[in-house]
Amino acid sequence: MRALLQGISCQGLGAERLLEKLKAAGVQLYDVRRQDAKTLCFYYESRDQERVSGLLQSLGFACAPLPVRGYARRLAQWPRLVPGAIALLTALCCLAFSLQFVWRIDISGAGAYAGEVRQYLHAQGLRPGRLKSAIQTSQICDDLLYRLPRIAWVRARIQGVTLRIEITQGVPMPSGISQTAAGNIVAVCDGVIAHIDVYAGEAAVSAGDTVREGDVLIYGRERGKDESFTPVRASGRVTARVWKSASAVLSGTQTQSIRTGRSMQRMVIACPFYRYALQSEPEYLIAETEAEHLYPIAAWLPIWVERQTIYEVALEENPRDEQALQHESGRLAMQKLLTFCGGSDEIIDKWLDYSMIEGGNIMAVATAEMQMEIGRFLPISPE
Amino acid sequence: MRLNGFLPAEATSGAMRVVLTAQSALLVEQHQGILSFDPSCIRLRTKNGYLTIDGQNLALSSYGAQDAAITGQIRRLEFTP
Repeated sequence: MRALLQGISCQGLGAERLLEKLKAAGVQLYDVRRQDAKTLCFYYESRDQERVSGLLQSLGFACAPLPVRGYARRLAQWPRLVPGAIALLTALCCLAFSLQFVWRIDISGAGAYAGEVRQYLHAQGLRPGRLKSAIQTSQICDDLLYRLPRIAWVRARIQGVTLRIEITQGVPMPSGISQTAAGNIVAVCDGVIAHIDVYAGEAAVSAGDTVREGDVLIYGRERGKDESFTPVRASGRVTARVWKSASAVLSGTQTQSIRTGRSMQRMVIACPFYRYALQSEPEYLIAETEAEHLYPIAAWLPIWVERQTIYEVALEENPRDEQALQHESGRLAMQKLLTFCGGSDEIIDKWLDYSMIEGGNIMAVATAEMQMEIGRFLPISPE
Repeated sequence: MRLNGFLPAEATSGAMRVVLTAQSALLVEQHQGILSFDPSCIRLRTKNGYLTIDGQNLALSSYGAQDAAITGQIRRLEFTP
C-alpha cells in the first residue's frame, strides 16, 4: 500500500544537485517532474519530512506544498465529509425518533358522533404528538363502546404515524313490529286454504276452508300442560287458492263518416305561419277536407298554393264485428290481469267471460286462479 | 548470466541495469546520480559512463538511492563511457 505521500514544489537553482542530496540522504522520491528550469515537483514519504525540509532550506529552495497522495488524500477529504456524515446521521436519528409518535388522528364512520369521539380523545390527551407506546387502542375501543351505545363496532389501530378510529353505527330496528310481541296470522284476501304450516301458535283453519280477508289463520297462543294459554307470536306459512280478475269495456258500435255528396273547392295561399283562403268556408255541419299542394309561388320563398276540397259528411253509428270486438276486449282484459298479478308463475288457471252491458258496450272479464301465501302478522293490541 | 555461481553479475559488480518497457517506462538500477533532468532529456551517471535518455514529457516516477524509474515518451537511449 502506498505510504502517506506529501508533495512539494521547489523553486531554485540546482535541481539536479537537490536530487543528488536527497538520494544521498536516503529519501525515496516519487513522481519527480521538472516544471521549468527552476521548478521541480516531487512527492516523498511523510517520514522523510524533516530531512527534505532541512535539505531544501539549506540549499535555499522556495517550497510550496502539493496535494497529498495515497491514503493521506482520503484522510484529507475526511474533514469535509465528517460534517455531512454527522448531518445525515442526525437526520436519520430525528426521523427514527419522530416515528415513535402519532402525528395524525383519523376518525371514519362516526357520522353524528364524530364530535363526541373527538371530545373523548381530547379528554384522554390523545392528540398529535403523543407517544405511540402511551396509546392503548383496546381501551379506546372499550371506552367508546361504553360511551356511545348506538355504536355497533369500533376499531382503533395505529398505522404508521396515524391513529385510525373506525366506527360502524348500529342500524335501528324497524318500528311498529316488535320481535317478541304476541299476535295472530290473518288473511290478506279471500281464498280457499290449500296448505298450512304452523311454526308457532295454534292453527285456526285447515286445508279446504274458505276464508275471508281478515280472518284469523293462526292464533298467537299456545296451550300449556295445565290447559292455560300462553300468548306467543304466531308464525307459520298459509297457502291458499285465490282468484283475481280484471275487466275491459269496449263500445259495440263505431262511428263512421259518410259523404253526403256535397262538396266545394277553394284555393288557399299558405305559408308556414299563415293561411289565406281565397273563398270562404261552406256552411256544412260536419265536413272533411282534402288538401292538394300546388306549385310554390317562388322557389326561394316558403309560400305555396293549396287546392282544398271540402266534403259534407254525416256520422253514422255502425255496429262493430262482434268476434273482433270480443277478441280485442278479451285481449285487453287479460293484459290488465297479468299486469295486476305480476309474474305468471303463480297462475294456475285463467279464463275470460264476456257480457253486453248498458249502451251496447261489451265487457270482457279475465279471471286468474292463483296459489299464494295469504298470511300476515297482526299483533295483538294490549287490553 | 551468472559469473560467480550463485549471484547475478550486476549484484556483485555494481554494474548498471536498464529495463525498458514499451518505450514509455525505463528502470535504471544501480545508477550513481542524476546529472541533468528536464522533460526532454535525463542524464544519469553510471559506474562505467553516462546514460542519456531523450524523449518527451519525461518524469521520474521514482528516484532513490538504488534505482530510478523514468516515464514518458522515450525516444533514444545513449550510453557514453
